[in-house]
Amino acid sequence: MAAWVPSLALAAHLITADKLATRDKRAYLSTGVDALDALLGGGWPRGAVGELAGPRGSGRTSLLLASLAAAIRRGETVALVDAEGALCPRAAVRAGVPLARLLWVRASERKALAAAEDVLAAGGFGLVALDLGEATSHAPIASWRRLKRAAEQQGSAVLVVARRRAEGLLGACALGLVAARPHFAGEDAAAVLVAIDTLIARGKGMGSDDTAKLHLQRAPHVLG
Amino acid sequence: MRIACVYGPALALQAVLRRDGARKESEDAIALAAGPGERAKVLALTAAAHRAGVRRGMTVGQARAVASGRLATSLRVVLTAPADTAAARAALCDVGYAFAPRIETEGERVFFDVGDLARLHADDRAAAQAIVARAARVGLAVRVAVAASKGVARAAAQAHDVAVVPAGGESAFLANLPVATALRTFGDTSESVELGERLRHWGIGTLGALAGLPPGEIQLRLGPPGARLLRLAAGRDDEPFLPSLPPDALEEGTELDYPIHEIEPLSFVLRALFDRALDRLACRGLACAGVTLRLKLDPRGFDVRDLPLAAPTREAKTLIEHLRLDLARRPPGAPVVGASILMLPARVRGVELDFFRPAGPAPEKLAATLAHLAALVGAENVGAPAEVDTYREEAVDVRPFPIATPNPPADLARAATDDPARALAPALGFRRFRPPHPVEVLMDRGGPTALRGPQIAARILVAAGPYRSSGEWWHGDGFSRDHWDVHASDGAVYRLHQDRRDACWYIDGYYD
Repeated sequence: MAAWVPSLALAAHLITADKLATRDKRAYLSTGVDALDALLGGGWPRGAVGELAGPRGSGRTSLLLASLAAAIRRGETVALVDAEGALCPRAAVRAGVPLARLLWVRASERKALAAAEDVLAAGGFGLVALDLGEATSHAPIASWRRLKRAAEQQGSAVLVVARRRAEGLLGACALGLVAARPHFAGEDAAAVLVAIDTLIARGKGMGSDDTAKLHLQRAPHVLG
Repeated sequence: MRIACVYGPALALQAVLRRDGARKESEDAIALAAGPGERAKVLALTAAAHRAGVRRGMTVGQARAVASGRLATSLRVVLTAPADTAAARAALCDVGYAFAPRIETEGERVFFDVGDLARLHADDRAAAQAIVARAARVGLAVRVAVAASKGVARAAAQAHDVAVVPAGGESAFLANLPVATALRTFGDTSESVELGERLRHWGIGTLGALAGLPPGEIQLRLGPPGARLLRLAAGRDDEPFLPSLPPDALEEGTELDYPIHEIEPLSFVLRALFDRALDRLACRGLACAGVTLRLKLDPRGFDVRDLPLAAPTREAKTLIEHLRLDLARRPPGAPVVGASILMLPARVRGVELDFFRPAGPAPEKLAATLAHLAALVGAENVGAPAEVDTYREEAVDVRPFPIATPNPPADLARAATDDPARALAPALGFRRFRPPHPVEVLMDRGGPTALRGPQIAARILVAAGPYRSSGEWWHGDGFSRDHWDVHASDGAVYRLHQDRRDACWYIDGYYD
């Protein structure tokens, strides 16, 4: 019988005995974007709620998809509770999200929080994203507290994406995105959108000077 | 071969008690009757009712009169409920399927082969006791006998709560069995009654006494029933064992004494049905993959509804909530006087944990969560998103989320190498409006110059396009669109399209 020989890539995942003790202390889940990880000190905190807020076109969705893709690449089970049903599967695939591994829950804004709590209650989810989109959350403070407690109990990272920071949420970290600047290649009728530059600022827990610029690249020759 | 006979005496009465949740029926004086009003005939009764003087065949009026002076409380009379009896019979079958892949059913009895249970239980008696315990879990009191043949097991179960007939010792075991008891296993036919009477006149009271008579003379004087009884007395039984596979779906039902108008009391009734059905599924190590609910309406008609589940579950709470939400969305058109559920069984598969990856949700817990989410937001809104093979940009499909995700080593190897380019410049995302929002657009020769719609009113700074797309004309509901990417004065880059068939404008979404 042929013996199974692990590849070097697999060997990189093996944990040495001296690291085993500190393994569970890796309390951050990478966002998939180096600049963002640097701002957050490693990524989205596990067992806590992170916030990502910004106006239309500021790059919230790009960072959300990057975070989901990075978590799935690391073998985590992830869920997206989508209050507007705004997920574009093609954009998600381009961002590296394997769709078959994403639990997508389309819930109205009123039920989104309850749905996120349900997902967290299952346990074992590495990242649960709650995308409120353009809606302004009217959820009572008690609901946000329940969500925070569920995240703490299950050790999952919860990411709330919204136009503005939710009142009463008081997430462990929060990033604010400011209006972006699009880049078009070509002139007039031949113009094509190629990228959007966005600025990340006003992060909770960061110094007042902490900012990061991101270049969100559009895949060439692709509609939508 | 060792055959077990599981006998549920007075199953119709047990069915009603099971419905009402009264497991210790012997403590109460209860009579089961069928027929109209006080002239209804008593068909079955509990031991307490028997001690009070009530007998089978009495009218309800007679039974009440006889029992009135002897009972501290009045005699409780319940009417037969065919749906409950059918459910109890099915539950009895499930007890059999908990121990064997195939069983044979016969009225209030089931038969199955327990020869292979020797590996799980110390001996036949331990196996029989396990069967009794399993039946108690689904609310049934049964008698169990294990023997080398069906007829002997049937006769032994008629006389004993738990009996094990040793192989080769059948005639000795049955020697003390009264003829009247053995004849009850032949059914309440006039032939059996006549045979019993004749043997009583001859002074033959037990099977042991009968076995000593010459077979030829018995055949001549008592005919085939007598010969059959004689073969049973001698421990010779050539009745074939004809087992069958379990049915695809599992049914539980009940009929109500009064019509129910509101969802809340109806959900109490349904909760009991779900509990019983899930207990039965648990007997077979299965979970529920889907439910069909059939409500009997007053005065006539039925309300039938299917409840698809995102994943198999064993949680009654999840199922009942799913059902309650469905009933709230589409209430029955008339009061409900009966309910039955048909459950689709499915196996919940375990998952082996991976040494290299984080442990995901436990499969059963994830299944329950998916079912709960489906109850909350609708099954069509829970799952894994999927692209659709079409040029229609807004198309999306939702597929069942895999409970157990395969984790081949190759997958992990890919995961181990993050794309460095992606980490520096993530892909541009897109938020889609579903359905696309209609907008007003001002055009000049160069393209769109302004747009106005719900929550949007902006000048257009840069317009890129048009990009033409069309398709599905072969289906009859085709599309033909001119798409534009426009940088609006509110800072966002929207994607618009103009429907070339009616010239209307829509916003597909925005780059974000």
